Amino acid sequence: MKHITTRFCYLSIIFISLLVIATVTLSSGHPISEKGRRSISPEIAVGLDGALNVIWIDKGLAVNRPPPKPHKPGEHSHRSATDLYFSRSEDRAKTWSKPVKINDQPGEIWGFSVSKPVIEVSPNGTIHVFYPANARSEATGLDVVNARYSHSRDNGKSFSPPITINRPVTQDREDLLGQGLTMSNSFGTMGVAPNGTVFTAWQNIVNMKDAIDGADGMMAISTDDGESFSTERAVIPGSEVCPCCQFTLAFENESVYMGFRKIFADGRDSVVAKSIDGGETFTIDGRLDLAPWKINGCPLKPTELGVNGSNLYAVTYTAGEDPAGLYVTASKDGGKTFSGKNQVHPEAAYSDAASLTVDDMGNVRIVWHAKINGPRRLFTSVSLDEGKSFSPPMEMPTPDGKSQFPATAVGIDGTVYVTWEHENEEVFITSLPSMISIVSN
Amino acid sequence: MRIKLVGLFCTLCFCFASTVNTSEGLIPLDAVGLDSIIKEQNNIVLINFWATWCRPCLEEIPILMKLEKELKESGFKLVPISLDEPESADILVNPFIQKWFPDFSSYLSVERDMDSMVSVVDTAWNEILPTSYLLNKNGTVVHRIQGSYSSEEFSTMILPLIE
Repeated sequence: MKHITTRFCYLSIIFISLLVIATVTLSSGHPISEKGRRSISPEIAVGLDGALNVIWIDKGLAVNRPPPKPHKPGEHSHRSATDLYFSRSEDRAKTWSKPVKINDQPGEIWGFSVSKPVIEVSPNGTIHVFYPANARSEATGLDVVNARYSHSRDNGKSFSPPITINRPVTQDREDLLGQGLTMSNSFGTMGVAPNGTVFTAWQNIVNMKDAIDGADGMMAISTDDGESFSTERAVIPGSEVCPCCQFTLAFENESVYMGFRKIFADGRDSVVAKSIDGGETFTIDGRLDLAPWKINGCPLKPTELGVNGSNLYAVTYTAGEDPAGLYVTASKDGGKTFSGKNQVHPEAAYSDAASLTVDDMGNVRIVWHAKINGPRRLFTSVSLDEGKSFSPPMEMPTPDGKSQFPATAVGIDGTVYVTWEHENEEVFITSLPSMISIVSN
Repeated sequence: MRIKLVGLFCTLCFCFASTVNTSEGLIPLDAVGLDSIIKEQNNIVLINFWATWCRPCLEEIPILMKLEKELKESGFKLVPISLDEPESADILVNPFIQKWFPDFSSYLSVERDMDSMVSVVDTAWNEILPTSYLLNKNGTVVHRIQGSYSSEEFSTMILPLIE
């Protein structure tokens, strides 16, 4: 009887919430990036002050853009010729600061939609930025990708000169990368633990034996708010990491969770590694409860994580399942085991690029892009019962055209802010109402 | 048909000359151009999407080149399309082809993102590389092939269409 009552209560809450969500007039969003410039791959972080901090990759002018010139021997490599910009809103996304360029080497950003630069905010308000960058190895004189970091202590008005976190590159693995690049420290991420420790993690391909082998998972940590970082360490050694799926991080008390795609004998599948000693060591317990995905290619699919107490949520794309698409699953034991998979968007021809948040009440929200009968559009779904069930996908009212690669963050009042790459390469932002206020109303 | 295609290529090259410098090994192509290729072809076509940063894609290139050479007289055509950044044609893709696959001729997508190009063939493409599509003589996709495959595996899919 108690079980039935509880279930009825859950269902009622979900039903009422869905009604409220459906009737709330959502903003279709507005652009943050400068008009006339090509802006992609946004990321967002909200600090304890409630301010919104957004970064994005800038590809230059949309029209009349001079083509990049081939670099001369010894000159800096401009493979991507893209920059990293920052803007901030202190009035809940109504107004935004003039975009500031973060990188000091023009055009050095190597990232793209699935190897995005990352932004986080410390409890004390320091803004941290971590990104992959083109560089030239001093030791070899050859082109490499480095893991770079910068911070701002004045609310994003200025950023520190970026530093390279990985060790200087001395190896030439062009035989493996084969595109003039000789080493890669990329597909990384960054997170700030509740105690302010900054964790950076990325993939290093130096020990890969061949094209189907994996990368090593590297980590460097700062305990002085980004002033300095520990020497890099291989925390996921043994060439086990699928080398084209971006790392993700999540924190809960003393636990550090890292999501990635591991190379198994029967597939390249999502796992969660956990550290309970401040990132010194990681154990890989949790293989997601999804059918193996056997592919000898570049999945380019991260494993998004969210955590609340011992509940850990993971969402990822897989083609191991039939039908292929986004699936969400949960762990009740701190990442050791996962069960209860839900297909996120059964009606979609294609669903991908999920971003996952968990608010203070444990409500789980997913935002993703999907195709129904047209271009990619943004959709959202929520779970109020610790991931057991999710509301039907709701299309977000973004402007006409393609909306893709959303990034989300929870505001201090539970509002979920969503930034994305819109048609013609503009960065937009909108918000979804707090589940806390919806449930309490 | 060949004259038509040459004409189409020349037109495309002219259209995109301001953004992408062409060379013998790399031909700019947009979504409209790909649609035309599909509609106007009368062969069994393998459209192969690749990128210089996708190592498994590169493993396939020699295999696909060999297959095209062997099966060309039987009506098989390879249509490789690089999804590298259009702006990187001269600084990356062209030098790459010249260094590693000097006999390889490929299109380079000039669309702003990968999906805009691949959607011409597959509106539900899942952004995995390499991805190839095997089309019959009617231009219908009969196989979506993801991840790198061996010569034998490709042949198993192609030969029944020839016979």
